Order: sequence, then C-alpha cells, then structure tokens
Amino acid sequence: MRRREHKVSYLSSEAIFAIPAMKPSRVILSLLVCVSLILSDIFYESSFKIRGYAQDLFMPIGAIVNIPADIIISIPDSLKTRSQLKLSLERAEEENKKLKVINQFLHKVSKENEELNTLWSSARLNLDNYSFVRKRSISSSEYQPLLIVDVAFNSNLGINDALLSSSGLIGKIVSLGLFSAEIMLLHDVRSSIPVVTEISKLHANVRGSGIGRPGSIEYIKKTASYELGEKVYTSGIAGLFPEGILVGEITSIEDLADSEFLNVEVSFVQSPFNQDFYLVYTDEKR
Amino acid sequence: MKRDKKNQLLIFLTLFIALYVDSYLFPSEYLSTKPTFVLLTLIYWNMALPDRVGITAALSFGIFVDLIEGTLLGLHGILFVLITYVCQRFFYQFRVSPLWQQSFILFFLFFLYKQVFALDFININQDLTNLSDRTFLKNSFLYALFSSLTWPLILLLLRYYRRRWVKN
Repeated sequence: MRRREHKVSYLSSEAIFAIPAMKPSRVILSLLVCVSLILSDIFYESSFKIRGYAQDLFMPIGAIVNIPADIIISIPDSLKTRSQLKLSLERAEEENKKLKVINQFLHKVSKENEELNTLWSSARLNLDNYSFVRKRSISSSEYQPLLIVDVAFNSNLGINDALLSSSGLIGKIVSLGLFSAEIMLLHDVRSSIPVVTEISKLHANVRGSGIGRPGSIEYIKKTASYELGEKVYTSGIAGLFPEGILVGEITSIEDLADSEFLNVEVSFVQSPFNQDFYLVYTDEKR
Repeated sequence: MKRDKKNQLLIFLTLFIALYVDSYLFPSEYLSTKPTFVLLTLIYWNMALPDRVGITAALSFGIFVDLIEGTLLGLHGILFVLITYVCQRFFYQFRVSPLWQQSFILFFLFFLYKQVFALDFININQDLTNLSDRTFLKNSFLYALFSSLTWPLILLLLRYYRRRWVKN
C-alpha cells in the first residue's frame, strides 16, 4: 500500500485508513497558476499565440470521428474470407453494398461540389486571394463561440483574414496553427466590425452578442435615420475587411427613453452551423 | 506495467473520451445546453477514487477545455480545480447520498458553473453579461438540468467501468 493512503495514529501507532484530502497549498498554487494564465490572456492575449497549434494537437481526436465509417467499409472485406461456402450469394450482396456506398459518396461529392461552386461564384475580388477551408468544429461557448477550420499546410493565410460564405461575412482568423485556424465569429461579444448601411449610408460598428442572438450597432445618436430591413455591409474602414461584404440586415430599431443612444439590432446573414465550406480572403495590403 | 500506472491510464482514458464527446459528437444546435461530460467524469473519479485523480489532472483538463472551447485561458482550469477540491473535501458526504440528491446538488453546481461564463472579464459589453439575458438564463437552466439528468447515467457507466477495469 502506498504511504499516502493512510496515516498512523500518534496514540496507538495503528494505521488510519482514511484517504487524505488534497493539500490546500497545492490547490492555492494551482489557482495562482490559473489566475496568472487568465491575466496573461486578458492583458497580452497570450492564448491566441498557442490556440492554433493546440488545435493541431487535438486534430487526431477529431479524426476518430471517421473510425466508425472506416470500420463499416472494411466489414465486407472481413466477411469475404469467412464465407466461402456462400461465395456467390455474398458477392452479389457485396457488390450491392459497394454500389450503395459509392452512390452515397457520389451524392455527397456532388453536394460538396455544388456548395464549392456557389462559394466560388460569390468571390468578387481578386480570385488569387481566396482559399477554401473546411469546418471542423464549433466550440460550445455561448458568448465567445469559436469556429475551427482545417487549413492546408503552408497556406499563406494570416491573422485577421476574413472568413466568408456565399452569403456574406462570417468572421476573422484569430489564431493559426499548422493545419488549423480559429475563427472569431461575428456573433462573438469581442467582435466589432466597421460597417456602412445600404440606404442611410451611415458608418458604425456592429458588435456581436453571442451565438443565436442578433448583433447590435453601437453608439448611434437618436437623430440617425436607419430603416428596418436595411442591409449592412463592411465599410472597409480600418483595413480589417474588404469593403462591401454583406454582414446582415437591421431587424429592430428602438428608441429607449433611458438610453443616450438608439438600440439597433442586426440579424447576421449567415449562421455558422449550416455550412461546411468557407472562403478565406487574404488582403495583400495588410 | 505497474497497477497504479495502469489505473491512472484507464482513468485518463475516460477523461479523454469525455473530452472527445464534448468537442465533436454533439450537433451545433445543442452546444450551449449539452452537459459537460469531462466535468461529470472528473466529478465521478473524485468521488470514487479521490486519491487517483488530483489537482494536476483537473488543471490539465481545464486548460485543454479552455484551448478547445476558446474561453479565457485558465478559466475552466480554475473552475475544475475548485470543483475537484470541493468534491474531495465533501466526497464522504456526497458519495453516500441517494442518486436523486446527488443530481439535485449537481444541478445547482452546474447552474453556478455556467454563470461564470457570463462574466465580462475583458469589459466588452456590460449590458450582455448579466442575469437580464433571458436566453442565457434559459440555456443555463437547461444545461444544469441535462447535466444533472446525465449524472446517474455517467455514474452507473463509470462505476461499471471501474469495477471491471480499474482494480485497486
């Protein structure tokens, strides 16, 4: 028995078989480590430097998703050796299975092609600056959702590159690894996009409010004349995103008596949930 | 391989599987209300074998979750360490209580756990991160409910696993 699993009584010298609670000093040390990590992340954004590489490390875990499919595909081969007596029957069945699997794959490939074509036709700027990425996962954080995408090794993507769908802007790259990139979505509360509205031509910033919630246009004077249903585009100011990419549309304008500013809500054009492929636009000027 | 190391490995295997389930298996629509399996698993091992799972495991898996989820680095770490400490401190009392009572306690624990993520650490938008966000409150309630309902399942599953594989 290990020594730390029991204490010895001072009175009788007998073993006391009680599991000791963890030492408070170790708990305090761990808490201090966590607090220092939090502070370094808040003040120096230290996590953004390592998150992309961390996602590369977790990639094999994601690859496990494919194992069940691989096993199913290998079943016909393993059965073939066992069932020589019913060879002809099984051959037919196997062919049938193969055809079904091929059909499924063809259907999938054609759907993916269709999606890629739609995406590509939406590219309006210099086509050489675009590259395709594929969605890997989305984090469950409600206020700070992150989209993880697979990127090609040695791709020329950079931090702050815009992620686009066929409908409009999705977010920007905040961390890059060798095979992964983390995207800060427009829905993220940290996200603030310079925009211009379609009809009133007013410049403003759209801030995210969390996944499943509309964004809001910040610090708008009550005299501003927004219209419901008005489209909101990137303004290109600050050089973060190219100009004229659709961000969303205005769904609500409220003039609250106790507020200094107008309360304008923007419904984002694209949910990150229902798409597998995206375009990344790399701005050469940056 | 020594028995201790084998046990440790088997325990970490369950934690990694839970991490995998958390990160990749759920449809995107349910991400904000799905239970945190890695935390449930960590709580179970703290109850069942408190001398085998310690602060280091809690801290490491907390940081893993931070890296995967994109939350502030160290936030899950701090929560996992605190929950591990509380679990180890009170595991004698918790372990002997009936399953429904355990689930009831975990409901409140998970509800409070979720509220931490509504805190505005970097002063972004003061209007959003408070209890007036009804969507967040509703999601927190559902999250705590699903987590507490999942607890008996996790407990029975891991108990079977422990008795079958993790030998003392």
